[in-house]
Amino acid sequence: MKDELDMMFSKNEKDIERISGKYAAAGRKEKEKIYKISMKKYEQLKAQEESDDGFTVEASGVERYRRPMLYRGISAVAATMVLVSGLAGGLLLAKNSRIPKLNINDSVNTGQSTVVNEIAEDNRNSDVDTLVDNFGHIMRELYIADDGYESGVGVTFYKDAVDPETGEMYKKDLVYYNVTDEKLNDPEKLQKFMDATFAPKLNAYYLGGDLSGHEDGEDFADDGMASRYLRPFIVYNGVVLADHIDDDMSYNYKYHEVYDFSNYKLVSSVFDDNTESFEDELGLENMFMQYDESDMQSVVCSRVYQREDGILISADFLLRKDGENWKIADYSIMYSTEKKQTEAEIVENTQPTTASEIEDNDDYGELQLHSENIFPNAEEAEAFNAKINAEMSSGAFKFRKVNTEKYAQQIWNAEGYDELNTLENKSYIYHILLNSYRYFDTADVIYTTKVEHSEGTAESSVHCMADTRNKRYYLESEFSDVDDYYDHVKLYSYDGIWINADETKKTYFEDGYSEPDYDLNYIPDNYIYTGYYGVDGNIYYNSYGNIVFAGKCQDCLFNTSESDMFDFENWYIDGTADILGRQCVAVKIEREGYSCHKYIDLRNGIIMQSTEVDENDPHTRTMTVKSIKIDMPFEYPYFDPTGYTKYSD
Amino acid sequence: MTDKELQQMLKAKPERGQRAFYDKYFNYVYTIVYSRLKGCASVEDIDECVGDVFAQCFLFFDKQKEISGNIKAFTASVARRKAVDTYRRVARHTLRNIAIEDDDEFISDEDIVTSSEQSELRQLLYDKVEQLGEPDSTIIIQKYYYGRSSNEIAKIVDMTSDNVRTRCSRAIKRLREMLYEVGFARQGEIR
Repeated sequence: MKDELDMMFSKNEKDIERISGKYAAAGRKEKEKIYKISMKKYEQLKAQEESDDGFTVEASGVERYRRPMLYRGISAVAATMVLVSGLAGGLLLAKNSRIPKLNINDSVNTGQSTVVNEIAEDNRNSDVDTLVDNFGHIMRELYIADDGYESGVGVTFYKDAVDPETGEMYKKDLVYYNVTDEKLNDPEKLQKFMDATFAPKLNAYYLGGDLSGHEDGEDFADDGMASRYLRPFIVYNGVVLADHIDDDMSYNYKYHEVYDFSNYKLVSSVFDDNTESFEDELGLENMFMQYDESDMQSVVCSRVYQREDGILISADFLLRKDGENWKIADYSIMYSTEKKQTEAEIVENTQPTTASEIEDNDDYGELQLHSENIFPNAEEAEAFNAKINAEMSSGAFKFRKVNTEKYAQQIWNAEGYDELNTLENKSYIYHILLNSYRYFDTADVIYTTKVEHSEGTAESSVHCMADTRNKRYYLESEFSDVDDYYDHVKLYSYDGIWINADETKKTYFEDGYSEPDYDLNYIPDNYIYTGYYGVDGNIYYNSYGNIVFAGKCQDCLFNTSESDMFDFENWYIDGTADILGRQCVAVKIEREGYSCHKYIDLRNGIIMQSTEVDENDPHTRTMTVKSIKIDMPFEYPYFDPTGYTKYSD
Repeated sequence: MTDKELQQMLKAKPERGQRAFYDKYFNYVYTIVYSRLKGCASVEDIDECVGDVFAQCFLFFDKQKEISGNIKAFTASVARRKAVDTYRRVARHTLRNIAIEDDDEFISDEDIVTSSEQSELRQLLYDKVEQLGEPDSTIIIQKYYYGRSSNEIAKIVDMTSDNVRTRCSRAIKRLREMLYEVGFARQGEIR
């Protein structure tokens, strides 16, 4: 019987789950003791990490990029570089002696190289573009890492390694996962891609051997040859695998931070034929002696890229001509910790609107300059909209307020039509109208409307309270025209319900009501409207509507002006005015048979006054805000059903 | 608490999240580590290793902008790796004569040859242990899975060690009978 009871112990995953799910693994005291051990170790690890980072920044002024294990061998090159920022409003990249100082103002086509002529340089730039794209692709996450730990699609090997920081030996585990990337997922494609990208030594550095003859879990111990074939890419049973690091999420994150060249702006590209200082710090010379590159023509291409957030990436590539083609023989990548400080110098030949972004700091979103998306047919427009929908659903679009103060002042202080009607100013007004409700938390407003037509005049007074963060809205109106349905109705919307309360009949209607989360339904301004040419040659538009409070109070708080203003040809900025102490911009919308003059609060897009003249359906309509309180606390008037009878419809 | 709630708490309120994570996964981590280190590492080594696992997880959670994916699988992976590390450290200091082949065998999940028949029998055994009811099932598991002494078990089930011994003895007798009824053990082996 003893044997059967001994069978109780098992390392099987299923058995571990069952046992640990049912029974305590330790007593309370032991559990608490281990918790204290965990926290102590955690604090130590954290302090160690902070100490590492602090030292790097303090010592060099450069935020060290912690490369994934995959590229640790390369890091020695980068570690010798220094990036200095903030000199007299400019930025100088000063590296060690191997690369001359590079002025950030150098542009792609006016590189300061004295060695090569411009035509040759252009050709080489084109070659480097391709190589850098390939290089960036290789640096991507090439396997599905989300549940890689459990997926079982990979192998693990072990080898002895020396910790570069402590000098101590440790057992390094090399985990490889199946490459899912379509360009590199079979041995032949991988070889071809690497051959086209890397010179022989670097190629050998990245491409390991076919390890099918070794068991999963094999320990190569101190086998010196292990360093030769346990490279970032290996082949195992006919499948390509890529080295994996523990913190795979940071891996992907760092890719976007440092290696996503195809999505960065190329700021400068300079060639230098003097490559002597690009030392062999990888040790490739010793490791891959059989590949002699000494006779190959060489050049260093030093590039500066700029990420969308303004961060500068410095990328130096040692290139060697292998046959007829240039290939990457070594590289060094760094990025600056400084943001946007030097954008003026970098983009001196670009649109003036971009220059103003220099004043934006990182707390603000970037204003999207208006452009129309018009597609040649409905199918392409639909495909584009589907993409936008998917991106919106995935949370790709994050709303951030633009610098309202900057643009408000810019418009308020502008003189003359031209200075007012820049693309940037109009884009700002369009933006603030589209996103008005994102720019105030609460509003308590009273406004009047007046409609004059051939049969008479109708007037109303409206009181609207809005709490956009908590989605609580209230509206009550008084109409001179007693037949108006809403004359005697109060509207409430809060806590996911909608209530119409009829003050005359003392009845109320209640129903569920919800709107998408404002943070989730955000779409950048230029994607709100997309147009396409119909078979009749006319342009048709699709749009995303941001419905707030079911479209109520749209005269003032939740306006729908954008449908008139999408086409920038339809309107212009007419001037500015102070209304009830708020700085407003006046815009004039004009199209056939219709004109509208609106005064819009410069800081939140609320319509303070408007006059519409419609000749197609002859009438004039005016709206005037009588009082307004923005972002001031108010007591929301929750509906009290006492004395009312509920009805169903 | 679901893993999703746990992930959110780890980012929104890290300290509370860490504690909740610890409480939820302590048994699991401990059991993985124990299963790897049984017989070759001391209780202190096992405790340290479990501490290493949680410290590593906490640090990992700190670094992530958002925590997603299979948190259980991730935790299991860290636990297995840390157990391997501990084994190597312990082996280096105390088991110098263990060959690499032994090491390979150690890291295999199949260190006891588990045929499907044995696996089924083990599930039956677990079923019958559960049927003993508490605290007897815990006593049996602590004794035969975690290898704890009566004194250690007494602290877990809040009983005196004498009571644990008595209950354990009776529970084993009952268990044998139950297993015999389902044909698990041969009659001659019942004592």
